[in-house]
Amino acid sequence: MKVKVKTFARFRELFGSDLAIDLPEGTGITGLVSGICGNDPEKQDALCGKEGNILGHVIVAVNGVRLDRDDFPTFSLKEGDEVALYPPVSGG
Amino acid sequence: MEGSKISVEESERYCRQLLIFGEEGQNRLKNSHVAIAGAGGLGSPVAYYLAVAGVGSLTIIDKDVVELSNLNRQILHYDEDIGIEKVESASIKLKRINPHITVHAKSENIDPSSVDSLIGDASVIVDAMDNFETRYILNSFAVKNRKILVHGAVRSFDGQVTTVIPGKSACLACIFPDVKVSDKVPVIGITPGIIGLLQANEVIKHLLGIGEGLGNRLLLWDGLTGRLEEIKLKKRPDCPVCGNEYSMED
Ligand SMILES: [Zn+2]
Repeated sequence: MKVKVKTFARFRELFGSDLAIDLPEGTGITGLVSGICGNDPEKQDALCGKEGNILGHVIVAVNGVRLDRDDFPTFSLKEGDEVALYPPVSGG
Repeated sequence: MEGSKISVEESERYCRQLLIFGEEGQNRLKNSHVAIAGAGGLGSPVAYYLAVAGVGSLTIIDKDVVELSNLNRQILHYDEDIGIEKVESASIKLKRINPHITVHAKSENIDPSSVDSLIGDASVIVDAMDNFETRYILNSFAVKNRKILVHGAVRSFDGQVTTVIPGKSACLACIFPDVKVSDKVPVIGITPGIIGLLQANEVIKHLLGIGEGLGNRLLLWDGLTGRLEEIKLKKRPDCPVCGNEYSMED
């Protein structure tokens, strides 16, 4: 199945924006992000950590709605889903 | 309504916006008190535009003094202000741009013990801070005391805005549970200019009770592509800050 990933702020610099990704049916959020990070230590540091757990501050939205961390383990992506990955900014 | 009414001179000053929300709306702004936490990149446009719109009472809170490296974005402060307190510098400009408003300048740090007296009876708090540590303090205070909190933050060409409506919408602890401390964030002044104006717009709508606020909506501004995106949010029932609050609809 194909899903679209949109990235923002520092993630856009690191991963590029508007990625089209082919995934096995039933892949979840953790599977998606560990695929995006691969073995790149800089990407892992920014998004998924060494064990593939998405870092606590990262906001994940699917089709424009924020997905709660507690729902990551049970959530499966579907064909055509649009995932947004946002690292909150903090300056003023 | 209660409170003082605008003068003849003020009705001339505000005549273009009286066409939008009338004298009653303008009186409402005149009798409003907004606290702006931070007189930096975000606080500057927020303070200027709330001042010229005629928000009658502004509290500006910031502990810093003006430095040369602030001047690419903190447009309340001028070259000749380097070395003076930011709130003093802010107060001078705001009174000059609109002598009909009152400015309370508070050169203090916001911490859990000072936040109550610093915010006072302001009904709306603008989060124009540069760190999440203080934002979490403002958030807890706002939720507990049922004050509206208008959040903004920036980095480089990117920014985010949302509004916390206690009892109704997700609070900062629901949305950003674990933001790390970061120092020396890159910023071009345009970004806090845009985000600060979106925050000021939220404040005015809320004070007047018009339009649709940004409760449960996180706006993301991407200056490099010129796009504004929206993420829909909801309160987390187990949020340590707002999770035990009764809903206002109950
Ligand atoms: Zn909350």
